[in-house]
Parts: sequence; structure tokens; C-alpha cells
Amino acid sequence: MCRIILLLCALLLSDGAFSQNKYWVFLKDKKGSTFNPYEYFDKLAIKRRLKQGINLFDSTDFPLCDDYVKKIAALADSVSWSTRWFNAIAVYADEEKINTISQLPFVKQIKPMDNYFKTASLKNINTELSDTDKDLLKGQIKSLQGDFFINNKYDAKGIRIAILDAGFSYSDNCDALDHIYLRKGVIETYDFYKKSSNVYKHDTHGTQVFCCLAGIFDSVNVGLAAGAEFLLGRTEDAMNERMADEEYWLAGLEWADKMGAKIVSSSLGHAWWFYFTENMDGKTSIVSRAANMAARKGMLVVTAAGNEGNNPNWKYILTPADADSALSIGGISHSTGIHIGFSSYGPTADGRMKPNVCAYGEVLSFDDEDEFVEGTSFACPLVAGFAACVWQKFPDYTNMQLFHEIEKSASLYPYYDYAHGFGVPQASYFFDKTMQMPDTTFDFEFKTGCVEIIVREKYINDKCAKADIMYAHVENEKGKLVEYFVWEVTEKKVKRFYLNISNFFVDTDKDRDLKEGYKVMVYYKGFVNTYIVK
Amino acid sequence: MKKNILFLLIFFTVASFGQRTLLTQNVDSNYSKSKYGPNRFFYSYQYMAIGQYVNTDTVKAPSKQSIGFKYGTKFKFKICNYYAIGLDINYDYTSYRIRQDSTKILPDSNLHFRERISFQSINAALFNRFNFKKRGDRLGTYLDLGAYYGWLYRGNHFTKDKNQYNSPGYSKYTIVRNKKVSYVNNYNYGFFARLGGEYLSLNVSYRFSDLFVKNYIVNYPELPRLFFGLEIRLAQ
Repeated sequence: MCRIILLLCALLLSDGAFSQNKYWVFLKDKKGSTFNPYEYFDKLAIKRRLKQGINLFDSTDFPLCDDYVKKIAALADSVSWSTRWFNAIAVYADEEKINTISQLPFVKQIKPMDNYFKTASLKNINTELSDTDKDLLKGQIKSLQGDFFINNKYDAKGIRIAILDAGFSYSDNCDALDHIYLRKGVIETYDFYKKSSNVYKHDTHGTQVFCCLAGIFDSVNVGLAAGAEFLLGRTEDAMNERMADEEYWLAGLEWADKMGAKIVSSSLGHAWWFYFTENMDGKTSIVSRAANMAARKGMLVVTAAGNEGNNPNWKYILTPADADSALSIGGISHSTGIHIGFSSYGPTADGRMKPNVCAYGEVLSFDDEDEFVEGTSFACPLVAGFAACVWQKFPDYTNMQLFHEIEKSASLYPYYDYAHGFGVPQASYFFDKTMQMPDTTFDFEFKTGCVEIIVREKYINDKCAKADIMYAHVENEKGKLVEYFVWEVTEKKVKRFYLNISNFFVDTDKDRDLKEGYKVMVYYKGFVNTYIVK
Repeated sequence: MKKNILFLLIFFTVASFGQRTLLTQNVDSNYSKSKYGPNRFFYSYQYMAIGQYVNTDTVKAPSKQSIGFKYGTKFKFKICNYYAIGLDINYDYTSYRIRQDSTKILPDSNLHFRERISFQSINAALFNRFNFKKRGDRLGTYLDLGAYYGWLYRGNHFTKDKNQYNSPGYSKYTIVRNKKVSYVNNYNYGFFARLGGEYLSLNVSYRFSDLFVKNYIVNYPELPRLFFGLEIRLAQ
């Protein structure tokens, strides 16, 4: 009985109620520190900065003041990590010690960290490579029109990509990644948890992500960046959601910056276990601030939108996907082509559109075997690989130009919603930029007191249900979405919106009333049109 | 007739719009800050608890085994990140299996093959919740300290005896249920503590009140007062 009670106590307290506390200690300045970018940065990092007109002597890259670090280290139980970008140190300390540290004249702010035990949400289903699997494998690239890159020999050669994940078990022994290890395409590895270079244990999640970025299996691309160089950083604990993940993720970004990475691909997503919905504003969490900082340094940060889509209490994007400069990737189902249930919805807490774009959220990937895996973690590397190929084709793009061009290339653009963003990026956009005016596929028909969406006769094709999908959103007078829909169109008349303006009859029971200044934007078969209530 | 015409009108109005909704999301509610949530101003959740009563007396308890089951709802009001107050309304079922030996006097000295006394009550409890750490919108790790008061609305006595004659016309056992026995007090109260995590908590409660009416023919010995249980949070 006693043993059972002790075991239960251990389970209950697994999120460390009485464990040693960990804090971020932010410093006021970097007094007396000196910095030589040519010694610190990899030559690719310098090249990236110079190309994008970024100052090599940015104070955020300067090391922390040695004297301050020593003084804090002497007072704390131990120092875990430090960040140049935010001029802060992560320390372990009890309450008394942290109080003493907070009194130091050069300490600006103290922020506590926390842990939370959470079973990894990755869902694996072991399968053999059946015909369906092969179709899925081809589909995940085809959905991005990846063949344009493959046929034109764009494989992200010369682009350095950092993957920050939970572990890369079997990466160095995975058939789909052989071509990378054979040409020594993995430049450096680092485990930020264990402070060692061995990342090939703890979890296979990173390996599966790596495959979605650059894998080739049986001459079929699993990801698009097969020719890129890679930095593999273990910054997450797969079984626990820890605040330390954020600390190491930040350290991983600084490391990627130093090592000359142009693109960072990451699956990190924190939500209710550390934050409130209003914190998803791109400014509160240190990881979203870090993602923005990384963008300032010229890197493209590609992050998963998160897997909280089925949580009715969390209809927001996760952090760091909430950062305005992070390219946030949502997930779609390979069978329906629309939002997959678990993929987190946007917007951010301050109402910005997220995710930016989307890709397959269920893919075929590999570690020591082939696996059908689900999660926005896998949509993210698909787009990161896509971005790397675009950057290879257009080396003069800045990171934010690339960001916006990827958005513009997406299948629904300029239509958007908070489940799909602008849709799935399309490679053809980067090969043929001549704009073709799409046919008008539907009309808004104004009637007394209402407006109807009517599809033109020849664009109704019941046999091809997948293509007969209409997207519509209602935007309020402040430009924020209030509602959005995806319909499978089977008849001419698709939807009636009632108008709630002084002259018209209002039927509040049927549909959302459109007030003055509201907009209805509709996408159907490549054609986008907007109706504005005046 | 009028209703049928109205139905047909509505049917044809709706049917004329051809669509199958694959996804719909209302974002309106997102723009207001919620006051409801595990670590917001107000939160309520259902739970279930199961456990056992333990004898703390030096005298041998009149019961051999016991089981307690609770099902209820907690209402939590957050005062600050480290402190909340709460109200807990629950249904409680407790059953004690009575020891069969020569010292037995509860509720009489007759010995049976099986015998138990069960109690059903509705309790209200007030508690203080102390949280340990800064956290997001979740319950976190907490310690609850509180007191409860309950209406013990039913006390049942159950006996089961093997029959001597196993021939046609006789059953194997005779079961007797005495419902709403008169020697049970109608109210009970006590203190409790809970050490909890996100979905599980360990419950300890101590009943201060006596279960049996004093000087009822004889003074019945008290059944164990200390309860150890495990509680599971059921729904958000």
C-alpha cells in the first residue's frame, strides 16, 4: 500500500512541484565585452549577413559580460545556458538565491521557467510500403508541385538548414538519408540537453522530420532539400514539455545563426501547459521573440503551427509559430486536401493571420523503418525543403522576401483563413510568374436583404468532388476574420448571407448577418472575389 | 396544415442551397479574453474518487474492509496564481463489511455469512487551493485543504446467509436489506486534504462526526474515519 501511495505521489508531482527552480536572468548591458564576427561566425553566416545588408557588429551578437556571468554563477546553484541575443542566463537556484541575484545592480529581470509532463503527441502506425503508401509519398511532394524543382535540378544545394528537434535516432542509419551522410551533408550536430555532439539517440522524431526535408526513398523524394547541408540540434525532450525546451531552442537558433544556417526548421510548439491564449501574441514567449530575432539576422524560421486543433479551448496558433516573422505551417489531410483536425488554428492572440501556409500533415516518413506519421511537425519540413529550393533558385531574395513569395505562391492566395493560411505553396509560381487571369467561377447575387454565392453552371462537376471545394471567409470592418467555411459544392446556389443594415430585413436565426463594412471573400477553383457590404 | 406548409417552405429554401460543409470556424469568441479556464478566474470540473477507509484506532475496528466512492463537481475561483478557493459538491457512497466474530455488536450480535453497512450522502465542501508554481492555463500541482459537511440521507444494512436446506423450494442464500436504518446519524462532517496534479490527486479525509446515533440501545463502536483515495478529473 505504502509503495503504491509513494508511486502515486511521484506521478502527481512529476511536474516538479518541489524540484529545484530554473530561471532566466536578463542583464541590463554587455559592459566591456568585445566581439570579432570573423572569429565567431562561420563564413556562410557572414556571407548571409552581408548579402542581406545586416550589420556584422550587432550588439545582440556580442557575448555576455564575463564579470556579470561569474557573479551570477557564484550565487546560483548552477548555470544552464546563456543567450547573446537576449543578454540573459538560464540558472538553477532556490528562492533565496534568486532573490539575491535579482538585487544585483546589473540584473534587469528574472523570469521563472516550468516543466510539464506530457506524452508526446506523435502518432505512429507501422506499415509496409504498400501502393497507398507510395501514393502518399508521391502526394506529399506533388501537392507542393515539387516536381518543378526536381525536374529542373533544384535540390537546395548550397543552402544550410538547421533542424531543431527532439532527437535523431537512426538518422545515420536510415536508407532515406544515406545520400546525405555519404556526401557528408551533415555539417555539425549538437545535443543542447546533454551538451554533447551525439544527437543520434533519445527519439526518432527528428529523423522523420529530416526525411520530410531531404529524404529520398527508392528514388522518390520524401522531401525537397536533398542537396542541402544540415545542422542537427537536439533542443527538445520528446516525452516532456519543458520550459528548458525554450531555452535550448533559443540556444539552437543562436548556434544555427553562428554556423551559417539560412533556414531553420522546427516542430516546437508550446500552448496551455505554459501559457494563456492571450500570450500567443508573438511578443510574450522567449521563443517567439527569438524567432523574430533570427529573422532579423537573415534566417528563415519555419515552424509547425502545432497540434491543438482538436482542443476546443485553444483556437489559437501555438508559440513560436505566433511570431510574425516565423513562417508557420498548418497541416492538411492527404485524402481531403483541406485542414486536418489536429492542426492548430490561428489567428494569433492579437488577431494576425496564422498559419501562413500549409502542407500535408500526414506523411510517409522513415527512421529505422517506414512509418505513417501525423502532425504539423511533418508539414513544416516539407515547406522548409520547398523554401530551400526557392532560395537556391533566387539567391538574391532576403529571408522576408522569400517568406512573402512563398505566401504568394500558395494555392489559395490572396484568399486566406486561419486553418489553411494562404494554402499549399506551389512551385509553378517560381517558374512561370506570368499572371493568368482565372475564369470567373462564381458570382455574388444581390437580392433584397441578402447576398448569395452562385456558382456558374460549367464549374459544377460532381464527379470531381475534391476540386469542387469552395473556401469563404467573413471579415469584419476591422479586417479580422469572424467566420470561415469550406464547402463541397454540389449545386449552383452555395450560400446565402443575410444583411444586417438598416434598410433590410434581418433574420438572425438563419445565418450570420453581414453588417456594414463586412467583407465576404470567396475562393473557388482558382478564382477569388470579395463582396463588401456598403 | 399550416405547419406542414411552413415545413415545406423551409425545406425547399434550405434544400436549394447545395453544399456540404467540410469546415466551419467561428472566430468571434476569440477576440474576448476568457474568464473561464483551469487557471482563469473561474473553472469547474467533474471528478470521481475511489478509496478505502483505514482504522486509526487502537481498538480493532468492527469492519473488515471498506470502500468509498465519490462523484462530484468542483468549482474553483482563482484569487492569485498561488491561491484559489473552491466549492465541491459530491455524492458519496461508502460501504463497510462488518467483521464476524464473537465481539460483534454492530448492529447486533448475530453472525452472518456476509454483512455490510452502507451510507449514501450528498456533501458540500469548501477548500483552499495552494498552487506551487507559475503555469499556463492548467491546474498545475496543488494542495487542497478544506472541510466538508454532508447530508447522510441513507444508511442501509445488508446481510447474506447460506441456507441450511438445499432442496427444491429453498434458495441457496437468504439476503436481507434493511433500508434507511434508524441508528445512523443524518449529518456528517470532517476535514480533508488533497495533493493533486493535472488529472490525478491523492485524497485524505477524516470524518469528525459519528456515524451512529449515541445511546441507541447500545453505543455502537465507530467505523474507521480516515479515508485514503485516488481522484481522477473527468471532464473540462
